Amino acid sequence: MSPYLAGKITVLFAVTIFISCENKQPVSTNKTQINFTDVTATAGLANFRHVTGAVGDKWFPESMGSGGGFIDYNGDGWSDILLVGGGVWPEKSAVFAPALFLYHNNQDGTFKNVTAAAGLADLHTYGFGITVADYDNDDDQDFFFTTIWQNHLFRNDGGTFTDVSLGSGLEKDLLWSTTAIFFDANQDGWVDLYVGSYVDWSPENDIWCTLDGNTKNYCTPELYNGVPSRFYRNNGDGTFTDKTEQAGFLPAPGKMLGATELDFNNDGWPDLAVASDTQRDLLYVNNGNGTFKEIGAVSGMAYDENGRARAGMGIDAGVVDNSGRETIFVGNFSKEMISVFRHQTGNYFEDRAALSKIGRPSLMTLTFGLFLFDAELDGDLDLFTANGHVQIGIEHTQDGIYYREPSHLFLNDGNGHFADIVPSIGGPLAQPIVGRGAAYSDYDKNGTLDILVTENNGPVHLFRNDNNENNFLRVNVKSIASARGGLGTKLVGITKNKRMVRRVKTGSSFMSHSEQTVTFGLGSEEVLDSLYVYWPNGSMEVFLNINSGQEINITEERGKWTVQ
Amino acid sequence: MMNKKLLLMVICVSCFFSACQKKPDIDPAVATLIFQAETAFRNGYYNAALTITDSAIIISPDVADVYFLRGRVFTKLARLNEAEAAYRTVLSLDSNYQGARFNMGTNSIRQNDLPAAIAHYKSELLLHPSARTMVQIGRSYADLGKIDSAAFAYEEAIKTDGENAAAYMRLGHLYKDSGDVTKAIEYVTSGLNLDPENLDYKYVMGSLLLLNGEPEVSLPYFQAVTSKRPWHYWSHHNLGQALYRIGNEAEGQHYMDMAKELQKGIQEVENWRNLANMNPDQLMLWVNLGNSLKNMGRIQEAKDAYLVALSLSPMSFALQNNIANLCLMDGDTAQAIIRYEAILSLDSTLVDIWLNLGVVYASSGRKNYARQAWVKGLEFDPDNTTLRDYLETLN
Repeated sequence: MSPYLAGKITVLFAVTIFISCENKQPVSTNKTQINFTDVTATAGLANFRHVTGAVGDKWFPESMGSGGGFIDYNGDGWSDILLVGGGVWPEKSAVFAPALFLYHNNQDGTFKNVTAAAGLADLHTYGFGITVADYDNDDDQDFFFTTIWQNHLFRNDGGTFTDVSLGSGLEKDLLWSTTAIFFDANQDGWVDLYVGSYVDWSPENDIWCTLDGNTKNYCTPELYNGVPSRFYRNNGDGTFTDKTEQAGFLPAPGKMLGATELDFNNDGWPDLAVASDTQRDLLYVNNGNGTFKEIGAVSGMAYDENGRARAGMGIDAGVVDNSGRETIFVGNFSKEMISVFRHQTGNYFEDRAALSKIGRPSLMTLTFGLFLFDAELDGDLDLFTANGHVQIGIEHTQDGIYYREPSHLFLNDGNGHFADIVPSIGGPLAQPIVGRGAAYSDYDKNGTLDILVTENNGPVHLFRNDNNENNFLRVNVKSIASARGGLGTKLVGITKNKRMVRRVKTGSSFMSHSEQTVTFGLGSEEVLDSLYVYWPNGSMEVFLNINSGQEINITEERGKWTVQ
Repeated sequence: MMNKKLLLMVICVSCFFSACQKKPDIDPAVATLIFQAETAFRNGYYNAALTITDSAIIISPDVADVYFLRGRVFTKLARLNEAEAAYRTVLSLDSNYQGARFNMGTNSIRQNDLPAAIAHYKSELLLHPSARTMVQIGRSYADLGKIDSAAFAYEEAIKTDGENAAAYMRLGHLYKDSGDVTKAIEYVTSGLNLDPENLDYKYVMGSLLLLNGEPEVSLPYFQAVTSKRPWHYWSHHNLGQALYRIGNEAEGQHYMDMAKELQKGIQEVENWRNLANMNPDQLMLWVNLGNSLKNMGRIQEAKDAYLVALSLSPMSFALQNNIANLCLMDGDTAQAIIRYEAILSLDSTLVDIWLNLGVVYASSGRKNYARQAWVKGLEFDPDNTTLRDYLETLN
């Protein structure tokens, strides 16, 4: 055989292998039995539809989507659902769209629309995000609602809401706001508010963008000027004062889409990590007095490994391995991995996107909602992401990228290594959607954490978690000396084999709100050996030998727990 | 940005297929024209190259080499549809023509059409097996998220040519993305050993070491890049990070600050580059791209952008002058002189050009020529003190 022929045969063989490799499907070796069921319709949520007001102008905000989440508005201990309806453009539509939808949990797996009864039906705006907290320390859950115009603070008055924005100090900004987070920055017992701002956009300065050179499509934020976020100090009398500059939040690049509270340096003071869209991500370290210093770039968490800012959307932080150190996760654009930065030492973080095994599987998807939760109740925090592109028809111009995308559910092996099980379990999480907001709660009180996902210009999805093989313990905390809802409280649950660190917080994900009840997955363990509660005021309490399978309440300084 | 850097490498790879593949029976006149066109192309006279190939086609319309050269010129001018048409003509004349499908694949990558790129590369591979083509296939698969296929292609490339540094580097990149940093370092080390002076590879190695928690070891790699490429934002950023992590906060902050400044320039360059590639017939986009590159000290790339601009505005003295100045900065005095003289042949009253021409001559030790140029300039502007001062230096 001549060398020429030999070469030719080799090449033909190689091409054949290339073709066969293209069809190769990822094979999961994960043996978990975790499964989710889409119960949106049976739960009574099928009539909800988010609207963008799009009439063909392709105005930038229409691609953003909105959030939603869980709130116990009537204090019965069951998670109700609050959704943002989106909005229409007043100059384009004579019919207004409802801004908010509140669904009452009937405690039987179904929900009832109580928007009007709760006093939320009359608001018409162009809405984005919610965050829930007891801002006035009266033992109920209030919420803050961000929009493209004026934001709204709703006070809970025994199960109905009153818009107390006017005079609250929060009503003055007329900027495009996104994610907001309540947290007690100065630990004075009253939750403060950080409100994310996006870009300086209005119909008048809308820019013409295109994918194909002919038709207008939605722009990306590089073309607009960012607007710095704002920080409001709670005055303790129902009002807030803008302390953005005094607290160290200026200057800032703007284009903020996500924020999460953490305490990476374990000094007991809440720090703040912020996800920014096409700008560097930010890390505000608390100076120990409620003012902050921004150290994102120096810490190593602001950019990707090449120093490039990514399109940060949803964000969360938690302890996901045996190091005991917090790891920050940020959802990014397609062709950008999900960011994974673990606290290393001092003010430094290490990039673990690839090492965590999250990077590569997340490379082609565009992640908005993102949160850590214990999906299979084995004691490790797993990562859920809601995905969906912003450009309609992106699949026609970019291969391998899709407008509608399946979700990711990265299961943690306990060492901070993750595997996306959605391709192997299929089911509702594998259905391509235009995912945006995402939140979790045990809405049916069976111990497992269920998932709520919103779509842009589409429905909401309630995915029931049907994994009930493992044991659990759920904990509600109520602080006395600190902000009433227990925000900023750190809980450490210990079993024979696990040390689980959890934090009570708002924010995280993308413009959405998850329940504040802490869930400890116990696996096959029937008892949580020790529960350490680190209250925001610095005090600590320990509770021993708590049986699994229950939801308990702990009130600061009482020295005991009670069953919910 | 790593992808963009590697794209540049790929464009260089396409030069592999730039050599003429003359048929034995080619008309000598056409062969001469092809040679002249190739020379014009290499020296950045893109319009001239196209004009000469037009002449060649009139003499002999069925010589594939001519169309292949036109394809390369059109690619350089970002006129990718015309390049595609030229390559298709090449293949209609000679279906086995080496490099035509490869270059079409590379153009498809520039147009974000990765499946088309893979198809072109596979066709090329069937006829002309090479590690370079396999690397390109791997790269396209990687960008599509088909990692197994990408890895296989790189491995095949290494089997075919164990000295293909790009294959090792890209395979290392795949391992890094999948979380196997040890393996990634192993492959990148192999790539760097094969091409030890490659600054892109040094940067990749430094980044891997930093990622692997070895900031001190990463330092020399980043320093090698920052010293040679003072515009390189990424190495400055990572050098700053590495210095911070070994406790040298002051110097780390210095490099982080430099990176912050460079970042603006990088962003500007990328914006103009994207716009220019999307609108290749817009003169000012290429000019602005050239300006932003020049401001960052990226001389060769700036020259390339100005050359495209010059093809759109051939009579622009300012562009010709800018290019000549960049040639001079790049040490290419011969090209600088040719371009200054070309301007003066069109308008001999341009005093600044006489001045610049004299500077080139003087800096290359040709004092008499320098004197003649400056004296000539003084004929048009007798009061020009700069010219007089320069003349003084020759005495």
